Amino acid sequence: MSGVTDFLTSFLPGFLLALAVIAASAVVFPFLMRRVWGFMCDRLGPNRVGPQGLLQPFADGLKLFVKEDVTPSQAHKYLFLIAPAVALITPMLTQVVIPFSDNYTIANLNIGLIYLVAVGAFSVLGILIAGWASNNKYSLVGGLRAAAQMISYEIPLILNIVLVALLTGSLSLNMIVGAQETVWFGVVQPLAFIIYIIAGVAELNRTPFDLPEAESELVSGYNTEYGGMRFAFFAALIEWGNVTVWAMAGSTLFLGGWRGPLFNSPLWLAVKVGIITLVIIWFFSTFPRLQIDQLMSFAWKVLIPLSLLNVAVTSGFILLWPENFFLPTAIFSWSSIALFIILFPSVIRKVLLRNRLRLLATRKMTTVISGTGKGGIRS
Amino acid sequence: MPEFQQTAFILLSIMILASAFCVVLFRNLIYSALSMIGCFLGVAGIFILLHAELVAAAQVLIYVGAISVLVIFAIMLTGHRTGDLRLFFHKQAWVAVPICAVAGIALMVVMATATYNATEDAQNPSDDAIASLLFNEYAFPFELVSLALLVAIVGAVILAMKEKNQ
Repeated sequence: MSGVTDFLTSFLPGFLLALAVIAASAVVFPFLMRRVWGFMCDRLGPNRVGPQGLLQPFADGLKLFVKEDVTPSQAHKYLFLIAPAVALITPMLTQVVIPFSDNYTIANLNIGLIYLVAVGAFSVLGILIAGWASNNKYSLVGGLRAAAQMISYEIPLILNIVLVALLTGSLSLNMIVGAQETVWFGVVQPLAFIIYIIAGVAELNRTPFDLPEAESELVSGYNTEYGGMRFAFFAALIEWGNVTVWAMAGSTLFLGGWRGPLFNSPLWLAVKVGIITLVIIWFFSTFPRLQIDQLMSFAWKVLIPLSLLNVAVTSGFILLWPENFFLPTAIFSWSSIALFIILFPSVIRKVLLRNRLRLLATRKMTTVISGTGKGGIRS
Repeated sequence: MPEFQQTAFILLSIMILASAFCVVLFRNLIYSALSMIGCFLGVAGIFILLHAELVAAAQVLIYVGAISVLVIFAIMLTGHRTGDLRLFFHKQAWVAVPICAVAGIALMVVMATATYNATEDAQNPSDDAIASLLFNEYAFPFELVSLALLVAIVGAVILAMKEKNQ
């Protein structure tokens, strides 16, 4: 009997909360994305259903809900059916360690950060299974791309989570929020925060890193064969659920979680998640998609060395000034960002020029080089 | 909650054994690889029952998140067209059964006769204690393992590298 009561008091509220957060994000964020995207493209976006189109997500949901549930005859039936469920594990379980307020975390684990990273592993599994079980070349290529991309970008993501653990001296997310009482880690370590955002966008397969579901080449990638409610699972619940929990983790690690100016409340967490999601939508409507080689070399040649350098320097500061290492860390982080912004135009011009020269050399069109002139490539 | 732990242990053991058998018996490599994930998750559950949450998280992170995904990735990348095939270990089952039986009995005998002198401290280790042991007392073996992994990575890169001048 006590087991049932324990279950009801400890497991059920957390489960319902996690489900509610994902359902809310699946309703709010796709609609928000379409409206903001429309605004940024100087068009209207969906505004017909209800006031300002606010009932659009419900109309979409109803439509997807009543659609026929199709399983392709050549698909691997059982894997095809469980793939969305496996992919939903990550957004559901990640929320377990996120502190919602001063005294409410679904489960306050002392290895919260490692748990966060370990649970993140299931999302790539679900996508791989979906891509393979569909028995479709587009799906398979999408799944393989997703796996390669997510494994590569997990490394800079983890390295920046390590940085937060270094700054706090603890792996518990409650302790991490507690350590940000005076100053947010996003202010102390803006470099880590920026890399966290970039690597996260890639990890979540959002534009400009959305190669696994590149519409123009792969139809819809790993979820090509899915329709109706299963498609809604992938397109709304899992993708936006993943975005939401990643933004929740990001605001907990770098923006102080539920702490905020004036008052402390879970509301601040929601506001921060909304702001990070708006940044992703902004990326979505402004950046073109990368190529797979650019994507990979960006992770391995830029993000990982930069994160490693950041971890090494920050650890050095912590060893040098064990009491007061926030200031030198902040100086290092901000100045490296400033250096990057100053040097970026000239470096990128040189890299582009070199690439162009190499391309021309392989095409045996060396005579054209003189036409490019001294100032780099012609735009 | 000893009864709960007992039940959980039995369920996890069934899960581990069933998925381990599935790994060997499935005709389809992908199904084998996915059953392997079930086996790893069961082992992670056993670790949690033993209050070794850090090891459980590492188990999920490394075995489920990295190794299994890599195995599935490799299978999909290479042999997805071959379909179901009789795997080599099906042919060797009759040799494997007695060897596994002997090894299993030997393991059981060893585990039943061994004396366990673990202290209360070792049964409930905090992550601080593990960290200070790992980076002070056992720093050298830890770094040695890192070095071995680095060598493996460099070797893999060299094997996979395209020859530039051909």
